[in-house]
Amino acid sequence: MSNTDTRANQLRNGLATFLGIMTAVAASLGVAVALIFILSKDPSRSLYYYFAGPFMNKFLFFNMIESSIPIIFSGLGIAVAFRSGVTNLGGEGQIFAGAMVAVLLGVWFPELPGFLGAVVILVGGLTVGALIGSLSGFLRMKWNVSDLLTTYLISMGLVQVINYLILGPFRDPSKIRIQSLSIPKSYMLPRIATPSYLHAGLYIAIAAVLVVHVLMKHTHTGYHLRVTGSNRQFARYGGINIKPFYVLPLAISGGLIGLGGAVQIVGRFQSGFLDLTAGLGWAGIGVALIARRNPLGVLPAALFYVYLQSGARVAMMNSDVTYEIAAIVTSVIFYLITAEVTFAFFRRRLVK
Amino acid sequence: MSTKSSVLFEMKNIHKTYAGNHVHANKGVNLSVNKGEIHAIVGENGAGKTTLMKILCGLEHSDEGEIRFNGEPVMIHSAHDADRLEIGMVHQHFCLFDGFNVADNVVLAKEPTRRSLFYDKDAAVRDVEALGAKYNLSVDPRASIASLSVGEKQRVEILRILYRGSKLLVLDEPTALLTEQEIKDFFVTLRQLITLGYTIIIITHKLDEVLDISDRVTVMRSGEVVDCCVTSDCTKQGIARMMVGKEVLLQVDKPEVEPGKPVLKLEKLSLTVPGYNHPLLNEISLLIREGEILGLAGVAGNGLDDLENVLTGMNSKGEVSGDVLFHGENITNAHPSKLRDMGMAYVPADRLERGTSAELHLSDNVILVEHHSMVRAGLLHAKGILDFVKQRILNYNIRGRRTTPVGHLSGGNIQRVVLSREFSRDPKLLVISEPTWGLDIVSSEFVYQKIIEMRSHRSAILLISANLDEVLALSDRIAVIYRGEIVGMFKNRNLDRESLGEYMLGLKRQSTEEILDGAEA
Repeated sequence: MSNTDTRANQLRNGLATFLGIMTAVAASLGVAVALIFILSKDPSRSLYYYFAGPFMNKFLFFNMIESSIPIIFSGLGIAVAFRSGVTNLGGEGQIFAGAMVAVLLGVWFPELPGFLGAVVILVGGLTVGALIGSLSGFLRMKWNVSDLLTTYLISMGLVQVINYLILGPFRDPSKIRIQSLSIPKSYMLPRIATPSYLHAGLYIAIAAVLVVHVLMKHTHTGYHLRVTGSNRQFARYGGINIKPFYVLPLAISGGLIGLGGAVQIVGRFQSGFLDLTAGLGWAGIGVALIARRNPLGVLPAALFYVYLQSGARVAMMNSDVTYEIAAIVTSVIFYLITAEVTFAFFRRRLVK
Repeated sequence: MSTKSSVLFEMKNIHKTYAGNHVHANKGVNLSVNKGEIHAIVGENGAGKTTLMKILCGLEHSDEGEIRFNGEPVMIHSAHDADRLEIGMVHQHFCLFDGFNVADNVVLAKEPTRRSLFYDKDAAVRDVEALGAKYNLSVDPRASIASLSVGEKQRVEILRILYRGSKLLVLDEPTALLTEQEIKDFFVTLRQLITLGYTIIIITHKLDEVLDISDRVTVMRSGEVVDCCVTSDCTKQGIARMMVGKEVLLQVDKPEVEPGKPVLKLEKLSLTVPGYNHPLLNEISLLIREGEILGLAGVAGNGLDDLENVLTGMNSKGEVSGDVLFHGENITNAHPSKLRDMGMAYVPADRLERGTSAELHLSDNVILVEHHSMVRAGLLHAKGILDFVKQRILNYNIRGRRTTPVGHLSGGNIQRVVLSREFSRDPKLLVISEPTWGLDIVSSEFVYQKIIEMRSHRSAILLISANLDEVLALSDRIAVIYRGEIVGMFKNRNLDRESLGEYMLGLKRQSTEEILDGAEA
């Protein structure tokens, strides 16, 4: 009846979320272990590589961290979209477009000072992602076309167009492998843990998480995004002009994801190649869901995701774990963690 | 057939409390319906009619009570149970699938099949055609639902329960959306169904129709049955008196406040929406002054919510004509942001979907209109917000914390959150709609006290409410709306529920001069 009562409920609510995540993690790891026991001839070896693999040496560990960078960007972009009441299923196309624009800018302006070159490329990637996102937002605002559909369809089209650009006009004929022209070496971000691939893009990713957190939580615009995202009628009732709030969140979302694509080029690859995105856009959706749409949560969620991925990779190299087993284990873990059921269970038990 | 009064079913001592908002919707209700009669159930909004029928149809579960069908006690746990007892209900809001045609909708879940596997569309069309011919309810079975008029949709709903073999038809507000001619045709159909041995329960608050069509009438008021009588022994006035009751229970202490300058003026405000045969609002003229509460009373469906939406910039349908003047400035169709800048505050009837955002924290809900002034160095001023919200929680005695999602609060506390926000800026004009809908006594009294406080602070207040007690207890003047028109304007002196009720139900209306006099008074 009093405030202490609700405070207790508050604590119980937090506890329920924590217990929910822990139970989901424990249950999913249990399922993973069971699967490996059933499917592997040498389960203990497989398990060891699966779960300890990424920590065996610095090279593997820092590469794991490196692989989280694009997923932080895509997870962050999608978390912003979900929070703001729009859907962005176009991560694949936005990453790829950001990467392609990064390549083009590097190729067209090869004479800039190194730092400036990198900045131009990053801004370019961010801009193109934002434009692609806003197009879907505009279609939603103007003709009420589902953003879920347009983000997906535009993205799928873009992937094909960019594959063509890499195969045709911008292919580097001097390379045996099919890849685009390369950007100048001087534009590349510094490696921060040689001999691994880990690069300074990690700092940009962390900075992006912080900026988005502050934007959503502590600014006027972020407040409008959250209010409109949670209930558009309520927002209008409060005097907020809700018209821009399809375009703006999708622009931010697409921009972050496009930036992630550009970071892949200046941090890791230097040139574009076919199907560069390889599911990074989709992974972002899972990561955003694990993070429960919270920008700060994207960081640990992305690390957890790449831990499972790297573990699977190490286990595949060193034991009889196959790609299929790894994929099943990953999906089970994702399914359990994102399922509302586990959270609802503890909330019912704990919160009155 | 000769033993006229063989009882079809009885409901005894039915109790139902909704857990969410502690509304006691049925308090020991008894209902007895005879075979082959048309039984009307009348009562104001919230009297518990629909709840009672949902219990009969297995859509709600009673907390207590017994149902006897043909003398046998029965348990009706689900719509399926009701189906077995041959009970069918047509809801106030139709439940048809727009994407399918008429025949598909009628046979749904009892489709005729070919080789007991495939849906036989042709048979469905034939069946529905035959059924329509038999009961004189003709609708083209191949027509798509979207292309039908309201009257035709109703026929499809009735065909559906007839197709399922229901012998007891429960119709919830069946005539609410029909035109006069459609109502006439509809009643012919009902009488015909009776001659074929069906039993019909009709929920309504239109008294003319009750007298016209029903054999017996049960009157409900605030969850209880007031009386059940043979319709031919009743008068309209008699039923109206039973519906609204006599006693005014509510007493609110109001200090004397001398009304000041005019704040809000409506001049011939109308709202016409295509598809309706009369304007939803028809040339409404009103005037509200500083320090004055104007109560707008009416039965739901007569334009209360339309007026609420038009005045507050939330209207999204039809065409508005006439003028709304706020401090002399024309604000017809203005965006809510402008209205808020000018000093309007608004407590909406729909506090869950419009007045709050369930998933956002209490704090985010409270600062909705205030956050513009809480920016420092480009960021929201956390300390300022903290103090502001703490103050609100304290002043409005909200049982929740800053970070509680509003959806987790009780109904009364959600309304306190809304009031704490809307009453916080010394509003010049307050539009308040159904402020105590679904609230318990304690919360209601709190709400009343706060509204009276705002009156003392010289806000001009428009109170829109279907709750007559509330309107009588709070208002300085009262306007009654019926079918989108103002049919009475009163000073709130020596008024009682009965006489207002006659205006609300369209039994009486003042002359245009009287209304205009009242509007300017």
